[in-house]
Amino acid sequence: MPEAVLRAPVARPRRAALPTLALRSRKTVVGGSVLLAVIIAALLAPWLAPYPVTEMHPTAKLAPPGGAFLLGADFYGRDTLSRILFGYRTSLLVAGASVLFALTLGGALGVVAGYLGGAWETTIMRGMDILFAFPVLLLAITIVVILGPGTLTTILAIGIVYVPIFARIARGPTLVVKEQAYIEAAYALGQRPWRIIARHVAPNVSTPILVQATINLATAILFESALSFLGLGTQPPFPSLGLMVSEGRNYLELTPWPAVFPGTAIVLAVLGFNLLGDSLQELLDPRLRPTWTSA
Amino acid sequence: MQRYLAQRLLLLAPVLFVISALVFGLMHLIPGDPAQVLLGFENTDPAQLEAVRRDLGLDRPIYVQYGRWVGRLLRGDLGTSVRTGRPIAGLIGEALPFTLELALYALALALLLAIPVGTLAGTTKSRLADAGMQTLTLLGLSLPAFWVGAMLILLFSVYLRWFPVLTFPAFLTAPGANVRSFFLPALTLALPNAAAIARMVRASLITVGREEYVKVARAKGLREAVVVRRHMFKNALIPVVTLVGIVAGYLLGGSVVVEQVFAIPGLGRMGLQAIVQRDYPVLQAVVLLVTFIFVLVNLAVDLVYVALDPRIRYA
Amino acid sequence: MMRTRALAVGLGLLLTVALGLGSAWAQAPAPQRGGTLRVGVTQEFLNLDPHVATAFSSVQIFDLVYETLLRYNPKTLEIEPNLAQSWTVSDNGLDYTLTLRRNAVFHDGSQVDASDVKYTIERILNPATRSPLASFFQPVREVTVVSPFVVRISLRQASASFPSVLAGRGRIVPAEFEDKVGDPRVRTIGSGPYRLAEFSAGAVRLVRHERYWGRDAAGERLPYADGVVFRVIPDAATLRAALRAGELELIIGFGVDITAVRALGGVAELRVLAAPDLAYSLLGLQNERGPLSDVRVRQALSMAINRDQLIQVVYSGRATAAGPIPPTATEWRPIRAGQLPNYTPDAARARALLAQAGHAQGVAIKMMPIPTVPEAVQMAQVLREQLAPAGFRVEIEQVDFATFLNRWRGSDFDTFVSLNGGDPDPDVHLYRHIHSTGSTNVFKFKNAAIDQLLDQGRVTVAPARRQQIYGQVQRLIAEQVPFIFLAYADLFAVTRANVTGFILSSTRSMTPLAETWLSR
Repeated sequence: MPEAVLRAPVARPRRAALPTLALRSRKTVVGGSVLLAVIIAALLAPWLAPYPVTEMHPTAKLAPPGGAFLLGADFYGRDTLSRILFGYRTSLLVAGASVLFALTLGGALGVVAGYLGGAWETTIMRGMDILFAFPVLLLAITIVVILGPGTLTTILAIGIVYVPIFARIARGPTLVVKEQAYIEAAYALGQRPWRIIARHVAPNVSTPILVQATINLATAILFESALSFLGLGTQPPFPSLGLMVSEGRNYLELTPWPAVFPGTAIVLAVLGFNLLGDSLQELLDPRLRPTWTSA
Repeated sequence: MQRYLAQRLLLLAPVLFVISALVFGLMHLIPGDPAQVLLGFENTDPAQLEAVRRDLGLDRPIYVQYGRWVGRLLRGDLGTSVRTGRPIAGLIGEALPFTLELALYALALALLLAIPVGTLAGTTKSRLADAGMQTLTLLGLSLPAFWVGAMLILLFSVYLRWFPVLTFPAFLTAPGANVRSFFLPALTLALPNAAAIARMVRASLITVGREEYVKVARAKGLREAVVVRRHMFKNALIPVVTLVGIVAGYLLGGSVVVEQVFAIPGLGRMGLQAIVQRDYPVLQAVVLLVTFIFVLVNLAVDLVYVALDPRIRYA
Repeated sequence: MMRTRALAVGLGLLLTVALGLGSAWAQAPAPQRGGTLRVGVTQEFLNLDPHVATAFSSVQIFDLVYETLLRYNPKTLEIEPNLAQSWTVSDNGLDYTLTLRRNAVFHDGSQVDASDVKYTIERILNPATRSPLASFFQPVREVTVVSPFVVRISLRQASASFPSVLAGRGRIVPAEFEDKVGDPRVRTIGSGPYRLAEFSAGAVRLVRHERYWGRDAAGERLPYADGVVFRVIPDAATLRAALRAGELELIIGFGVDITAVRALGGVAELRVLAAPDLAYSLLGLQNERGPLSDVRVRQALSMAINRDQLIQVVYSGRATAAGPIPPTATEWRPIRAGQLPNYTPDAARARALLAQAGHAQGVAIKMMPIPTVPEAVQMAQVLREQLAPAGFRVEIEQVDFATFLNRWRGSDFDTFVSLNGGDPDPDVHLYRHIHSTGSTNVFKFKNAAIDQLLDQGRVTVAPARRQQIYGQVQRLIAEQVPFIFLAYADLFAVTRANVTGFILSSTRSMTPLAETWLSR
């Protein structure tokens, strides 16, 4: 890919104005409150859930919403509401941890590559290219099969797949910052490289990475659901939203609810992340801010 | 230009080499082996297991196995499937047309949906229209493919009977039936990509719209449609092309989930089966092919830049 | 004195159904020829070597392309003539003399004769073939061609189950098969009603064998249909949708479960067929190491399971809780779960037994469901809930197919949930899983008394004595708990209403497709 494209625009965040701006953006407010609600629901799941998450009620198999089961029950007669609340825990944990992993490792690799240049850069970025070119789902499946399925494995598998994305994003701004005058000045003043990275590079890299992270938080939830659909994600009887949808999907002709409610729950969370990502991008990179949010 | 192309193509070789070695290594980290899968649940004789391992050359050190595989590959021989005994070239010949058609179809649908929606959202003065488009595209990005696929089948194939579920006739013998039967899986694949591309088109148009020359064009009193068409579109396309390239690369690699849901015997399902059955040579071939296609598509994207932006030159 | 044996396996329920239908058949319209039967299945076809592949998917093809010497009647499960039109057994039970029908022809045009039978059995026994059927043919000492259409199979020791083996296994291929066929994994030469026309990753196409010997009651040539196409649709929901949309005539096999029955049962243009399965779901146990090596812990596990509830949740009641002998094999007096030791739920006693075994605080065990059987992961989830009150903390580990196989072969598990293929003959049904030398005794179960009884049951031909032996075997197995028999579920198939004459057999055989026709 030519340099011209990879070099993401370097934002200069106006720190003081950010919170005020954020609150004025309707997207941030909506996205933020949806996410806040989702996170609170996940944290308080043990107290909010009307039933134990794996408890089966054989007489309530595929029960419709209402009555004792507010959102109905699944094939085993397990309360859908309770499982959605706990499902949020798994889905958010997997999404959060895998993105954190990718962001840390990928970000570090990208900064190092951009900052050091030369053979380091070539080696790291070629490695990232290779990882990037690898068919994603097949790579994730292979990792799961090697390590054995489970939440930790899912996190790792998704995290590894996302590493090259963050490495590429981090490298661009690093290259730009490196060329800038104040870095040269810092060099001249004899500052150590890690200090220069922390002081000057990191703030500039963090903006595009943050935006990318919100997008990947959303896709990670869907990625986890695809792995669960193939039986290689979250391990039953514990729920993730993706596992619930994929289980419920099998009973669509009998009753749509076991697939519809968790599906809606996924859409809510993903929508929240995407909205937040959108507004962050607009706030931090004003060139992308559409007219209606700043009005 | 030609030198650049030659250079890029030469770089492809080491990439493919590293990937093949990586897959080979990963495969041997996975528990279980093809000899066990061949003998299954009935033949449990350990002596037979050893014999099958010998037949397959699995008793040799891993670098010897890899060397043999590379040697055959260089002679143009992809080998045979351990599980079915069929030549892999033939298997790929069966699977590739499905994946290719599905990918191109999905890409076409995605662009058909994304460009008008994105253009409208990026140029409209109506806040409501823009918000509506944005919500729609976010929704498109938020739905799991296996769920969308199941809903589409249920609605359009079972209840409305507009599209068949699983007859996939060849395009050349029955183009009409072919286009109809690939519509639902292609749409399932297209939706999230259409949403992503539409958002990119919108963002790109807004950025370009703030450029001086566009303001000048508007100041000249040109109609908005003319401004968009003549002055904004071409420049807005550059980042869109990047994204479309990435999407095309992914789609051409085959979609495991959509192929699984719609029972399409393409590359994605072949790869999944190869992992689950420990069919080492088949997985090697699928991953190499998919990677090869991905890298080629990226190269093609770079060439499109040149056509779009005269400022970019490759030396 | 020589006597012809026909092993009668009574099937009270099925017989009544068959008799009830008999009157309906009397007015049935005459079968129509032609058309293609499109069959949907969820499992991929991988290997078509009739002596090597054992996957249910491959066997479905073998049922139509190849033939056995004897066969199970798909309705009554009685052993009846097939390629062999009659057979006799010497008094000492060692020599089986089979007379072949003269009108059977392979797909390459050659006649089926005694030398083909000899070649087939020798091919199975040849270690180079790597046939898993070899263990079933191990008793064979020699195969002799008596005349072109008479063959004698001599055994080393009497074998009560040998007719079962000839009826269920050992599909006859022409002499010099390997030279003629090329690669037997992808090409076939059989004598069955259909021959292979096309084999690709997603589909198998069969066309009518024009010189097939079979005739219907009216003397019409079989098969009726011009061809059969098997389509692989890995997703059960899509499989059902394709049938409803009219793109398939029949769906059968894994994935055609109680959900299919509930979803498709009310659809006017579809018909649901059901039959009790000979295969059973089981909870496999690790007898050699860890807490389950203590018989008390295994007994506690067995007692902690509420089979009725399990069947209610997973099968909506369409399954039978039973023990070591399939409830359909009434000839061998199957004992119902309620009458077997350790098969009645009792959480309090289970806890007491666990405490006695030194696990007052409970035991943590892992449970591995087989990924190819959709009900396995469902059962694992129900079992996890049921076992908790008795003190078992279950962790479910879903692994992919080859990992499951690897760990199964290496006995690397605490417990696993799976499905074992069944057989009307108790020796074939039990020996290989439970005898200490059994080829699939991955549980590492060893019990001298049970070994002795199983050995006796294998060579005892007299039915009354044999019944007695398997009565004891059933109780001892329930007591010692090598693994846990969970349920014999109902098998289902769903067809479109214009499909006539298909019989869903407890053996899962597809041979009735030869007599299946499409009304137009």
